[in-house]
Amino acid sequence: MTTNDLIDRLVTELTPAARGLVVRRIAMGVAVGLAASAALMLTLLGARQNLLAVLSSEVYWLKSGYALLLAACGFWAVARLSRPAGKGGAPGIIGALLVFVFAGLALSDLLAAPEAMRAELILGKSALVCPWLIALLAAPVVAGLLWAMRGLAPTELRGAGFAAGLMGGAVGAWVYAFHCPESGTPFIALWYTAGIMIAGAIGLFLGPRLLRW
Amino acid sequence: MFPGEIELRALMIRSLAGDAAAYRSLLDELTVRLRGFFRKRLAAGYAADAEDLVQETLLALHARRATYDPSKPFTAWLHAIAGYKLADHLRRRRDQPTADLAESESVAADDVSEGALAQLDLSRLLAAIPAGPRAWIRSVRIEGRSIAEVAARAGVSSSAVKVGIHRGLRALAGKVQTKP
Repeated sequence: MTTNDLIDRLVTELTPAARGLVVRRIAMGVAVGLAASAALMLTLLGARQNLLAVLSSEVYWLKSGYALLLAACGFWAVARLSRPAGKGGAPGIIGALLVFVFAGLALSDLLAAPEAMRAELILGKSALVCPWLIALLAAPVVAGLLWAMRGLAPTELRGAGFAAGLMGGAVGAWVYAFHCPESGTPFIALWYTAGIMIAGAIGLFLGPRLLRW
Repeated sequence: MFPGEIELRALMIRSLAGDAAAYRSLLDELTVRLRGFFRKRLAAGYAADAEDLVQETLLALHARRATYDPSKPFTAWLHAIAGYKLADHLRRRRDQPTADLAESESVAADDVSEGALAQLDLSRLLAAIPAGPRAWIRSVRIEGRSIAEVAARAGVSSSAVKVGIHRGLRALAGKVQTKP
């Protein structure tokens, strides 16, 4: 087909473009991934006992707030990187700042605690499984995001995959907080962040492989 | 920002609303630019590949046009797609020699602006001469078609096309010289 024929065809096929498609499609990917992730958490791990009491505790809000703010940065980055020429710089910097601020908070909590309690604050009872369970709960969300991005137009596939991984990790961490029995901020700063980074690494690996269009 | 941004973005925004005439002008204008973009970056003798890439980029633009955010520069969006399609093409055909691989890898960077700038200046100059000779100059001297082909399409003799191009170019040269 000559280029002129192609142009003729495209012009006749023109319909008004869907508005807000990028955000809508990503939101759909997150919603489906989140539902699957929550189902996975409830069947595999179970929500915490006395969940209502937990939900009103300060540490729960710190955990879930940390995860949700990171997820918001992730959403912003994913939305930008789903468009040609989109850059993830600004959301990346804000996300990194959040991690540093939370690490500072955790460090001050750690220093304020009596020495005998510090190991417990850092390791809790689930340090070895926490990051892996977060990565597991992140998997459906990462899959949903990669599906959404495949239908959009990322041109920087590594960055796009990384952003999808980090956002999936943050949502996975948020879901995990409904199960997680830990209450130390140093624990969250270390192991939640580690889980999110594992998911980010998986996204970084998958991006160039799955996002080509 | 790349040259032509304002006109092209206006056409794109009208196209997104479903304006077919604007869309045709946009695609015609982009075809010329993209052809230059890809030819410059592929080795001589790969003009057919360049044409494939032009079509692939137009198709991608069409299929993914909803990912253009009207508050952002249009040319940067387009160049990112073109650069992505070129990188993808080179990845798929690693064995193919290119004009300059290093240059090809940085297509998303601003080194495209030079060609685009020349392109725009040319469009502006060409706009000053009559439509017939203008189209012929574009076809023969820029797009590399044969005089016979252009004459056949225009329904005039080859010598008429030759004379028209000659006069048009002389008029252009006059315009360039009178510029400060």
